[in-house]
Order: sequence, then structure tokens, then C-alpha cells
Amino acid sequence: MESLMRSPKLPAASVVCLTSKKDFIYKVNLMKQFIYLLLAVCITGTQLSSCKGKDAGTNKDTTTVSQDTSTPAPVVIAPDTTLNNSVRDATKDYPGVNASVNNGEVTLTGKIKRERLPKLMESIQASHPKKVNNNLTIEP
Amino acid sequence: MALQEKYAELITAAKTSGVQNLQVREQNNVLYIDGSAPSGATKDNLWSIYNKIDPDFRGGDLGLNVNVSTATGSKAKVTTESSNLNVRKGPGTDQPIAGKVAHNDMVTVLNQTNSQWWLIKTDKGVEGYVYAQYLTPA
Repeated sequence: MESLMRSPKLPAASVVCLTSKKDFIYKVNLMKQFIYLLLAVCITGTQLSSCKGKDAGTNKDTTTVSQDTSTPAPVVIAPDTTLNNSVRDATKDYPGVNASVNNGEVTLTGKIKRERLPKLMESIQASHPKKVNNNLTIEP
Repeated sequence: MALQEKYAELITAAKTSGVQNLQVREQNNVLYIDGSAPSGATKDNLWSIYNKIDPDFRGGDLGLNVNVSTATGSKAKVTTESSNLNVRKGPGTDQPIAGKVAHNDMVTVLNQTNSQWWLIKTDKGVEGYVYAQYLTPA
């Protein structure tokens, strides 16, 4: 090695050294680039994972929406004019029963035999009232 | 949720007895249950459970509207207490009477116009609307 350094080919060795230096610098640069690349990958990965998180959240939201879609239809309340006609029809065969309609609520007053009450209630409920107030006097 | 707990037995019975398009919703302190029962017996059973949970329907906290689904062209029996059933030209007691069918007669259901009035045809060929409460699908 020493003989080589002292040899007339020293300049060539210097070139080798220089080359090695350049090579070293080149490798350092490569390392830097590699580190930058690693950093970039990490950052991108973090962002992706957070995006994944957001996606998951979005998916959850979508699922919630689809669940909302499958929720029951809104309650249908008949307008008072329709209710008045329906209630008149329903109580026609129940002498002694009076019915009034106010803001979707049907109020029953008067007298009825207990055995006839369920059928009357069925008919009243079928007219889509908001609520039925049963103030009837029930006879056994 | 409190009302759904109160009427849990009724809701379970509706689910297990094959009520179609069952809808259970709570709104302004009233629970609304809608659906289409496979038979009159199923509907009667649901009303029986309702009456048991809320004796004489005093609570005013349930809207039970379960119809009996009937196929077009199927037969139904007239189940008035004893009297004839009016067949009307339109769906309403203010509509003129087109004919009558006797207690226990059979009619053909042409259309379930709404939950109160069905369009039927009698064996004598009279077409018109009758109050659905007095019909029991065969």
C-alpha cells in the first residue's frame, strides 16, 4: 500500500482517493435522499392512515344514513276534515257514543257496552287520528 | 322508549305473528303501530293484547292500525252483529245505498280502498263500498 502511495502512480491513487471522496459524498447524498424518502413515506403513511380513519368515519356515517333510510316511515295523521267523516262513519252504528275531533285528537264521550268497545276503537284508530281520548262510560 | 317497553308484548306478538310492513314509531308521547296482518284472528289477538295492557283503552298513548291484507278477488264474510250491511256507491256513510248484503253472506273483495272502506261485489252482482269492519276475509 505504501509502495503504491509512493509510486509514480500517486496521482492516480489521489484520483482514486478523490473518487472515493466523491463516492463518499455521493453515498452520503444517497443516504440523505433515502432518509428524505423514508420521512416522506412516513408522513404520507400517517396522512393515509388518518385518511383511512376519516374514510372509516365517513363509512360509519354512510351506514348511519342507510340505517336512517330503513327507519320507519313518518306517522300519518289525517286532517280534521277527513277525521270528522271517518269518525262519523265509525260511530254511526254506536248509538249513545259521541265523538269530537280537534287538532287530530278524537275524544269519545257517552256510553258503550264493554264488548263493543274494541271494534269501535279499531274503527276510530283506522281513521289515522293523532290520539284517541276515551272518555266513554263503559257498561258491563 | 318507555312506551315501547309498555307495549313490548304487543310489538313482539306483531313481529312473531307475521304482520307485514310493521312500523313502530313513537311521536309526541304516542306509540304508533301500523302493519298488515295475515288474518283477522291475528288482528283480533293484537287488539286483545292491547286491551290487556291498557284496559278499556284509557291511556290514549297507542295508535294501533293493523289491517287485514286481502287479495283482490278473494271472498269475505259479512260479520255484522245480525243486521244487513249497506253497500254504498262511494266510501262514506253519506253516500247513497246501492244495495244490501245479509249477515253471514259472502262477498268478493275488489279493492281495499282504505282501512275503513272496501269495494266489493255481492253474489247478486251489486258493486259498491262497505264498511270494512263488518267484513271478515275468508
